Amino acid sequence: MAVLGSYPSHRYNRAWIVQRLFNRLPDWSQARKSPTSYGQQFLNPIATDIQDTYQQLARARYDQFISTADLSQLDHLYRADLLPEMEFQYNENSSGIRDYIPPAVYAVVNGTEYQLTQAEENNIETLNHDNLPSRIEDSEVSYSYDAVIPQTAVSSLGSISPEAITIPGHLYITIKGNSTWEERTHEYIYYPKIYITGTTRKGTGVTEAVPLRYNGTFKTINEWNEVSSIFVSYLDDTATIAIETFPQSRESYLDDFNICVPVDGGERMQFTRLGTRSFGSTFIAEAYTLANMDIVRSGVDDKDIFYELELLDEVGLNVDLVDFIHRPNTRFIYAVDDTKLYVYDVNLSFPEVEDLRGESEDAKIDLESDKWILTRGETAKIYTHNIDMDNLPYRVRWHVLDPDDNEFYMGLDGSMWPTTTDAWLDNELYDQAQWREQEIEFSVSETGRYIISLEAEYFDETTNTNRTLITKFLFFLPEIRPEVEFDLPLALQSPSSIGIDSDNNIWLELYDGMHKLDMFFDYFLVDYERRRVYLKEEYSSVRINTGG
Amino acid sequence: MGAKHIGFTFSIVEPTNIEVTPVRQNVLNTFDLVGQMLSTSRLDGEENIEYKQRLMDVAVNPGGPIYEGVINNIRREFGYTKDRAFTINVKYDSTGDFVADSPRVQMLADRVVLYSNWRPDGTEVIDKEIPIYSPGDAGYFLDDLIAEINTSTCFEATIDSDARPNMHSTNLIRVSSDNFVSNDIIESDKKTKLSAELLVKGSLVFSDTNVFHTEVLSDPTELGEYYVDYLNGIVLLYEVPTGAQTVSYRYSTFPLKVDSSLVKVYTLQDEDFVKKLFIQETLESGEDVNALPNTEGSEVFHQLFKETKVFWGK
Repeated sequence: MAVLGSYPSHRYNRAWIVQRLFNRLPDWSQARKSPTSYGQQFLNPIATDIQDTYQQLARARYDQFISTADLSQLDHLYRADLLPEMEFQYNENSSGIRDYIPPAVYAVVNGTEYQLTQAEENNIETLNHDNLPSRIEDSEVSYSYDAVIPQTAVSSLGSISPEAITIPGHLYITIKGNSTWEERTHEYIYYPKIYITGTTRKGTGVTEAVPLRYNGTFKTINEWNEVSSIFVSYLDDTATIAIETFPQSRESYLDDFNICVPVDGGERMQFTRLGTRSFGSTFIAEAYTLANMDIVRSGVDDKDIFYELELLDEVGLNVDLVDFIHRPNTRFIYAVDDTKLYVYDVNLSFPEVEDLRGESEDAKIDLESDKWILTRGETAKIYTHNIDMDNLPYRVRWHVLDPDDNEFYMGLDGSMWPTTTDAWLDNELYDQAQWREQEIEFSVSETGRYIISLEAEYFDETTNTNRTLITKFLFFLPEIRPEVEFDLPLALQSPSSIGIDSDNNIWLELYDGMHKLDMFFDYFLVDYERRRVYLKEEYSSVRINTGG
Repeated sequence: MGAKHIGFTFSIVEPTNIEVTPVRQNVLNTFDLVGQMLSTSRLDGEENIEYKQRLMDVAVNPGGPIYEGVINNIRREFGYTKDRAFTINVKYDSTGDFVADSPRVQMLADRVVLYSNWRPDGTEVIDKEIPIYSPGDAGYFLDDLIAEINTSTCFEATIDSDARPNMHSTNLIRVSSDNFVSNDIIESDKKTKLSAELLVKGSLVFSDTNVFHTEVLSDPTELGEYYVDYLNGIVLLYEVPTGAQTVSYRYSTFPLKVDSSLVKVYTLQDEDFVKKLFIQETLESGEDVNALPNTEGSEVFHQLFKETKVFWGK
């Protein structure tokens, strides 16, 4: 019998808070610079718990206000009680503690009986948050859809009337190409704003001012039913602005649950988007190169990619995605291509670090790189940094372990040689007691971890022996598979975008408008003491088998 | 539970399989905690989305002891919404002025009164009076009421696109087009723009009647004269006033938006309503009085007595 529901994979992830902890160390320390240093490996589990707490606090902060409170938090359950003479089966140990055996729960969905899945760890937290959808259906609700204001030059706004809002809720304002961010008089500084006038969803007529602080997408505080007029101030005439129910004009999402914490310590906002590579789609987390937003606004608004995940389907094939959304207050995204909906956990996983063992404790040459997270097809660059000029190697050798555990030696030009080769490279300046730092570029073509080892041979004059010191560096090309994937209903295939409204409903944009997608979570909780089962979804009847 | 005979012993077989229809149960969350602070509990079966809208409505349409507050409280308790029914506007003549001299709309318990000229001193000229209370009244249904208003000389009405045309007009929330402003500031200037427009003629009461002595119909030319632009809410003086000056006045709201609700509230202090509970008799003097309760009145009083403890004797 088919089973509805599954558990998240709980991949071991790298917490961004761990870098915040290690940024308290001096900027030259290896523990700070290397994400796979022993120190960061040691503290990452603790940082993960701190990060969970941080995100729970963020959720709690949102829940203090009605307009931002999480609508998906549990508001009802369905309860099924056992007969008075029924009991759940259990095993009792010698101390008298009962270990209950979960019942089998079945429900009829669309005429077919399915077995449901117990909520992970049988607690209400997993029933409510961080659970995966178990099925999707076409709700058969759809609306024709137009942007309230399509992407329009500021100079032309006066000639456009706002369109009707068919799906009431928050509005998204996307501004592009603006370069003026403040107007100074001798007394005041004026910042660009957009004023939206109309009727909110609760029926009040208001004007909301939304400050525009950089080229990007901003969300209104109010939920809107109707917009009667728009007014902008202190924007370039050539800048373009769009106002939409779904932020389809956005270039990236502002991730309000995570922060980019670079090694240099300048924490900055994290933005996410889909990337397109020759092999398929990727998920990109990026941030402005500079932390100082005043400089960003002056025009230095490039973004650096913090990490890029190669997205695969369940069987490991690349996907070509059309669009994605963040499920609020979770680490999951919902992404669509022409025929499927995928649910991904987009936290950065922690790479396999087993093969970093064997690094010499007193290695005298550090290995460094500008980027340790790469994507297929990119060029990895690694360079040496000798930290002990009184002890120089007379020769070195570069060793590469690729994601398939194949081993190579590497030349200074990045070429790979079999391990049968004599790949030692002499230190040409050894006689002059000098060392020339080395820098190698090489291409990476597979996902997974690459371990680069620098073997340096030293001659110890006191003992008259050679000794080899090894330094290692890890490059990581992350890939992820979906936690779960679904075939889109036939009528909802080939969407051009996916959106989530202010009531947490999922919408797919098709050629004729927005279509609502119903999502179900077929899970149950068991209260063994009170002999009842709680279900998240509504069923006309449920069969409970306690076994025995 | 069943019993089966095994030789001369019996064993009880407990069931391990059951088919049930699950029962819905509310779960306390953040919205319920906010609702406790706002004295607005979740209705049985109400989901977060609807509950959130109802909670936000507490601030938009506050409850209270007066008519509209009572309606807001009761309808929110039951989860009913307040919906736009129709809009009444004044008609304009070719010069852009109101057809009515001093327009006013008043919705009473049993009728809608359209005034072409209404003054606070009691002077009134009625343009049209449309009964709405009883079946058979000209404005009993909403579309009939709107049609009647559109036949008036000074007013016109438009139904809201989502309103039901056959809704009873008694479901309308009674409003009046005029509002009162107390002690609006007169600026130290010859020209003052008041807080409101569409002022009601004859309603301005100035704090200093020496400064504002005589109203004129054009620009003032002498001390003590003042001119009022009733349409735009502007007061012109001959000379800049000294000292703090204030004015209280009435103003009209047009277009007047009328809402409807499933909750109707009447008070027994309302003579227009009480009249509907009694058979009307005309005395020899020509005065109309309430005689015996009619069917509706009997039902109302019977229910009131049933709910209210009545003590007889000492």
